Amino acid sequence: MRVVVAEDTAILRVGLVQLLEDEGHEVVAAVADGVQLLAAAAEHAPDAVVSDVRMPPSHTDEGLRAVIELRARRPGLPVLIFSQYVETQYASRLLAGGSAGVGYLLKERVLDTRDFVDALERVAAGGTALDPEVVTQLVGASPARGTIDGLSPREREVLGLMAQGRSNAAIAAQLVVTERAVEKHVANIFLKLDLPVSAADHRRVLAVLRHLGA
Amino acid sequence: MSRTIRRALREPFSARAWRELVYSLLSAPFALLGLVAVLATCVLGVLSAGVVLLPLLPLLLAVDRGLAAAYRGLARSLLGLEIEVPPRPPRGRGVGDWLARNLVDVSSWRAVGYLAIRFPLGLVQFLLGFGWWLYSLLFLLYPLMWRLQVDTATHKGGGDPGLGLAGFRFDTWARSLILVAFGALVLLAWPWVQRLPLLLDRWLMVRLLGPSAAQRRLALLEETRELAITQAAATLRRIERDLHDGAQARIIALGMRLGRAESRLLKGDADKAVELIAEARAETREIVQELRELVRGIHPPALDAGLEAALTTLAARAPLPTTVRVAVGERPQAAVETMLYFAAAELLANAAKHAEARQAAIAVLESEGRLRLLVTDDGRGGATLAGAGSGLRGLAERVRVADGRLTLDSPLGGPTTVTVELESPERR
Repeated sequence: MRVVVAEDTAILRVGLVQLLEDEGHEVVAAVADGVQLLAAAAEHAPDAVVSDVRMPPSHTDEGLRAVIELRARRPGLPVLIFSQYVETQYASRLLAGGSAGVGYLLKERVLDTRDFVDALERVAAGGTALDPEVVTQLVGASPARGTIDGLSPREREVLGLMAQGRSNAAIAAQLVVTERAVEKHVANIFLKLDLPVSAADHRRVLAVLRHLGA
Repeated sequence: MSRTIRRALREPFSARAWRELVYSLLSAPFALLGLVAVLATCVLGVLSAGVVLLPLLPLLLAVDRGLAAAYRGLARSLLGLEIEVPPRPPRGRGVGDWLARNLVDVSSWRAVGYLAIRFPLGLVQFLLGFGWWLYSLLFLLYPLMWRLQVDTATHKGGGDPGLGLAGFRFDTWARSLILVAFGALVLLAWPWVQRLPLLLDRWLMVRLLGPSAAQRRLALLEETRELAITQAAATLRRIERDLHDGAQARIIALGMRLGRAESRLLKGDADKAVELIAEARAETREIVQELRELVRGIHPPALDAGLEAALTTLAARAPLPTTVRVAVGERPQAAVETMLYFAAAELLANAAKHAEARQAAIAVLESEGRLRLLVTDDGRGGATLAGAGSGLRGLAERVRVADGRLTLDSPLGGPTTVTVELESPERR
């Protein structure tokens, strides 16, 4: 996979590049701000973009704006936001254009090298990868919070994992329960949230997030 | 001597005298306007006891303030006197509040006071300034008027033309020149006479049309409080940035290295894994160092042992040989110690970085309840407080927030001495 990396802290940029190359991916460009990211993505037409949020010159949301701009130019371009913070507003803006091929992870997720690369590959394949922290905050900030409160703790856990883009099988493995049990939880969630059941993983996420007002 | 005479001869034709003449001329209408405003304010003030007219009083006070503003304008353009604008009465919430705030507004009533005194003073100004000048002009132009009068008189066959004094008539060219000479003397005296009431006027203007001492103090406190808030926010922001871009990023990078080492080990590439782990260990040491620096920047641990201990540590770590002398009685407040420490640290860094100094000295002295920090270096001097973004100016602002003062003595070629002076009213 050909990847463009945007990260202003040199030490992380270098680390990220080495990590991705270790895992057999090609980093076609590693840049340090939003403007360079736009240029690099236009030049290399990568399979995926990994970008920090806060970058020069203003250190606010350059990365996010650049990524949204990139997806406006090339709809469906897989992007993975890689930040030290979860900002509900950022996540909502990112997901406003659809959740297919979108990821938002906290930087420490990179410590689980395998998980991180899995998430990136899932995003590149058109899936979704949201940090559990992002999901928690989106659920917490959601206007539909009253409805969410009606879920049992277990169902909320399952909803969180669904929002991360996990399949029923993956959720079952994570929670150490049978897939059958997960299916029951999911059905309950859809019932309680008044959502139609859908087969495709990322459409589930889309539905959930749309319901959460993201 | 001749210079004094020349100056005296030139004075009636100076721009200053003419500007003051315009001021004297305007004094009459302004004095009348002021009188009307003051009377209206007072009458309404008395009538306001009946409450009904009370809401009108603030409007009149606004008119009084407007006149005061006009006077400040006149003073600036005609007298070259710059008077600070006093603060406006605060807006307040609701009609009652607005009323109360306006009625007790110090600057408004001071303006009323000025306008009241200004009425007689303005008339005097008009007479001694404009009247005197006109008087001299009449004498200077006497021959002309006399001639005109003679012509008209002859024409009409009227009585004796011209002026007379005790039977002496100025009715020839030669005689009329006596009056011209008198007029010239009057004109020479005019600028000085005109300036007499101005002496009092200027004194009054500064005291009544500008902010009061309390208002000035309040403005200073408001300004420095603003600075304090901005500085506190900037400090937090700096610490956040240092942590975000520094330690936090490094720890993530450290974790990445360990993660890569792990996958190398799983793949059986032990050599590369060992290399990555060694790098991670070095990285850990750097993180600890960075955090230590950061902690020192927030609150140097040595400061707990006192200013002298902290400054000695600072001097020992400085890139240039630095002596430290601390001569204070009791320990100052912790906040004062911290401020002096960071001021010394910044000044020392400046000396090393910008002044190309070879050595420096830090001294903390106490006299009359004041603490003084002196940082001297033998660098190239020429430091200034001017210019935005000057580090020294930022420091001066921080010192001002603590009601202190930063003074700078830095001739070109050095040496440079920066003094930070702080009150030390309370002890800890």
